[in-house]
Amino acid sequence: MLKKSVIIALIAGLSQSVHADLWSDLAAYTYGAESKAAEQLEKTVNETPVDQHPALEAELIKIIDSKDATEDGKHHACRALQRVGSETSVASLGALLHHPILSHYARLGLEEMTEIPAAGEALRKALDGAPANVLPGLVSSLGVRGDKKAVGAIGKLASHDDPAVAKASMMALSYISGNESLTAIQGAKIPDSLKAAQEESIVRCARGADTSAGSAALMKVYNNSKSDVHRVAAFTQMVNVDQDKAAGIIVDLIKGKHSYLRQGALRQIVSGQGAQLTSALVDALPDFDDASRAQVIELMSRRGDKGALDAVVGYLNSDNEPTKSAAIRTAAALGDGNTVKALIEQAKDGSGDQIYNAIGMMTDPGVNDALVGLLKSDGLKAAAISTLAKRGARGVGAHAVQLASDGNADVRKAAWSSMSQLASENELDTLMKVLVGIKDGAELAGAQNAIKTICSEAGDRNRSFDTIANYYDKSARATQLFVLELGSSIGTGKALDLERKALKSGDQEMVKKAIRALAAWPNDGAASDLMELAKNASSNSEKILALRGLIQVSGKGRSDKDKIERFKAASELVERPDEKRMLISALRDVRRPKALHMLKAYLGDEAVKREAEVSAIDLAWDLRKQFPEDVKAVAKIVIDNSQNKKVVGKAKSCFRETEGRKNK
Amino acid sequence: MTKKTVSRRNFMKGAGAAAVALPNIITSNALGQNGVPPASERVTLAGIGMGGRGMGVLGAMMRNKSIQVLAACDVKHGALEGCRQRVNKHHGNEDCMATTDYREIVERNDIDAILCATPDHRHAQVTIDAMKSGKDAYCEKPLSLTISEGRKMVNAARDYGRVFSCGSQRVIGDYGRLACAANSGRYGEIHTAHASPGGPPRHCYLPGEEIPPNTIDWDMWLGPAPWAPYHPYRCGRAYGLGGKGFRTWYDYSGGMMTDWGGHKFGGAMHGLKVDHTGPSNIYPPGTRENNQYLEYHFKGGKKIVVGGGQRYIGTEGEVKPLRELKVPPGLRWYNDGINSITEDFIHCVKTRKTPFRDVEFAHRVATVCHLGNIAYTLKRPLTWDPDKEDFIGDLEASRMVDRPRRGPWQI
Repeated sequence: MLKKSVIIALIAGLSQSVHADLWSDLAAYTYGAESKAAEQLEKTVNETPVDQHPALEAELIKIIDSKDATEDGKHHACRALQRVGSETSVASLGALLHHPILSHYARLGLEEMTEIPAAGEALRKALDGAPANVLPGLVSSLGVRGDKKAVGAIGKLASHDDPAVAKASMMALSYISGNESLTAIQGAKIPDSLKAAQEESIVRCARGADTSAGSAALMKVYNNSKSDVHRVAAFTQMVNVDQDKAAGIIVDLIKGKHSYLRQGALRQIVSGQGAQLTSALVDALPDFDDASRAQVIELMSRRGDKGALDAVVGYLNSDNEPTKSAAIRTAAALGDGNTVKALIEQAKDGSGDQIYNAIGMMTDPGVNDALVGLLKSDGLKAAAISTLAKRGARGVGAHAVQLASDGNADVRKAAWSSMSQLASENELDTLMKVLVGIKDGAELAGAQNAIKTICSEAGDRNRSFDTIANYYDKSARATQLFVLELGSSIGTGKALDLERKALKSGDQEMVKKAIRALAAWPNDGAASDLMELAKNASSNSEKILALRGLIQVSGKGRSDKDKIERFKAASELVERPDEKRMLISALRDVRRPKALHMLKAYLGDEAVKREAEVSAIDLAWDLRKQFPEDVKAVAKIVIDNSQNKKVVGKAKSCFRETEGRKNK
Repeated sequence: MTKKTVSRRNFMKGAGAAAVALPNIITSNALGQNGVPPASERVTLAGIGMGGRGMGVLGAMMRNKSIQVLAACDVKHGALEGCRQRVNKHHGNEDCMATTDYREIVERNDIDAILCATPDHRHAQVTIDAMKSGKDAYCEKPLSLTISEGRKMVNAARDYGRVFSCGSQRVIGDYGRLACAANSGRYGEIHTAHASPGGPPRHCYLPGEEIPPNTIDWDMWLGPAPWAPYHPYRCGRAYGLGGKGFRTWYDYSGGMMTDWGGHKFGGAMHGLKVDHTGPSNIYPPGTRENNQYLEYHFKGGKKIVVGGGQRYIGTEGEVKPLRELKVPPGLRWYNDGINSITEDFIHCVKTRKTPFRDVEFAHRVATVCHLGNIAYTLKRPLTWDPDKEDFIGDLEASRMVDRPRRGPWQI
């Protein structure tokens, strides 16, 4: 314990001696001097806890008060006081406020000591007799502090001969704000060159004045300014000061022809706050021309004030297309579940997509419930179910399934179009029951499409297909053909059984469909059936189709050994160049010497020689490290016989590498 | 040969009068020929602060044929002349006005928009003065030097109805795409973003040097910053915090924290959907359990961690740049599909739409950068009110929200 206190005392002593050096160094500091006093001061301020700031402040004050301290030393002391200064340092800082350079550094602290009234008093006191070059800074600091006691003095300076002083004074008054400041700015005797600065200050100041004074001042700028920019600023600020007056101006400007001011007015629809403005715009909607009305309604959506909703809904059946479109978007943006019916009722005569898209973006949780409620309303069912699909609604699949059996063909069509979005694999059995009863070709195609999508996106695709397959025997031929095709994307044993059944049906169309399905099988489960068909199918075209399928599915075998065996079997049946090319291409992907040997056999076949060279050398390159002798043999044949320079180049590389490997 | 040019602004102003007073004669230049858009489609521009970055952005803007640069400003004489020559060569005329005092540009009424690429401490003054004279503004990041001046920039844009876009190709580009990916729904609710900008600035103690003749207007370069003697490294262009460029120094820049923070916090805040607000608590490293890095905590449990690369963590997974830079289909965050920050600005000047990197968004991002610098300086947890934009219960920190401005440079 004793040891610890001794160490602390030693550190404190050391620290004091370091500080003693710091203060003397800082008092003598000039930019570029070897002394590191300024840097040391910054470090000390950063490391000194808040409760020790008074001690630091006392040292800094000594430097500022010292007649011998350098200007640069005082400058850095002022910087430090911006952070650690209290009321104690105000007098010392105040004494610097007339200095041409240190005045600014003194303001660093005084301006920011907003909680210390004496700092404001020092700044106010300094206004008397201050040289013109420091006055803009002094008045600005008072402005930033919002010092109402300074209004009288700054008001006089607003008419100062020096434009920089007058301008800064008007700006400072605008930040101090209030009626008195506003009067002072308006009363400033200024040259024309400062009119813009005066108007700008009036506009800013008006917000903090009484409504009547602020409104009158803004109207004056709006009516008399030669600057359109300031006129826009005036009515923009008016929205915050006197909403009724602002609303009137904005409505008039939207009706008018002055494009710059009109643009500013339209912008206020989005950013100007207040129910009065919404109400004025709504009241004026019938009076606007078509283009303006559409524009205003459109912007109402970004304004977000639900007070406009009823009026906007009234334009949903407008004869003017832009107005109607804008009303749809805005009604959806502002509305909720209660707006849905009015919107859905417009989903006709080509507006459907617009309506679905607009409702699709609505975020109110009541929207889906409202749409489900409309599924019982004749005439709105189709639109409601389509919109639910557009919104990606969950848990409404049963409603869609029910509508698939509706008496109205348009409703059924909409239901099937929406089905893949709304229903899940759990509803497949019911859907199949409906599907087997469909007679209309177009409707059936829509239904098949929906079921195909649900099946392909199902979590358990095999189970989903089994559900569908259960209806195979009960289905009409068109549906059976659909199931056969669907089977090729599933590839299960049950799907294979159905294809085999179709092959034996004797129905040529069913047989062809089954062969095509088998040829596109997603695994090698169909290989033996395809082999059989490739050998014994009744027509040549079926044999070719089966052979191509065989080559394709053989490449999907589980092991390279399986693949090679199947490719060998297929190669014995291959006669035409097209199938040979397929086989050559497939062999390239089997990284085994046996595949390379099979490819070697085609290197002398003039019909497919070029393709064989490319595939053989590609494969040889992959195998060069494990099977150099096999690779070397193939590479030599290619080097000796190929006309393809690129392939020969690669073959030579293979050859060189295998030679090198051999020598090693 | 000098081409006579007509600006969009003057064309629009004159169009009404011409319709009444003149027969139907419109010059070929006004109609637009040889690939030059008609005057009604052109945007007249002035570049202010035309050093390396400024020239780069100006070049990107000039690739859009509707841009017509009428004036350039830089307090460094060499940079100014280089810019003037390049602009005149591009337009095939001698029309580009060159000045060291941006106020001459602000006073012109034939300029639609300005590009501000000055050092950070001049951004607020230049853009606010430009907006008050009715010009739209594109300002390089970081938006501001202090939190308070950033808010004034937002207010000026709103009060005067100006389009204001802040530069950051990365926020609209790769970081924006990452933010879109984060919000694709695949990762659940995104609650944490990691971002790694650089460090804070330092105070400058460089000695004074004699200003070489005809090189720089020094007082104009300092502008609102405290007076300090000239030194080439004080105002240099060198990038980073190596002490040879303005970005190192506290009086002129927020350092790499604001420079890279403009990109990285921009992306992070976008992805967290907090780009309209600010954090409520800031924890410098080591001020709470297990915080190795600076952390910003937002209301609702979201946070930004300063460190660990650019990535997001959601309730159902982590989004990393290498995997997720491709924007999922259906997620479009930009005006009419534009994904270049300069093109977005030009598009918004013409259509009056709000740009992707609107000034409010840029201000919120810059604020996070400034809060980080303040937290690094004070080394203690800070509580921030993002609505009032002031610290709660920490007077020393509150004194860092703003800085007094020198002489006439008030905003």
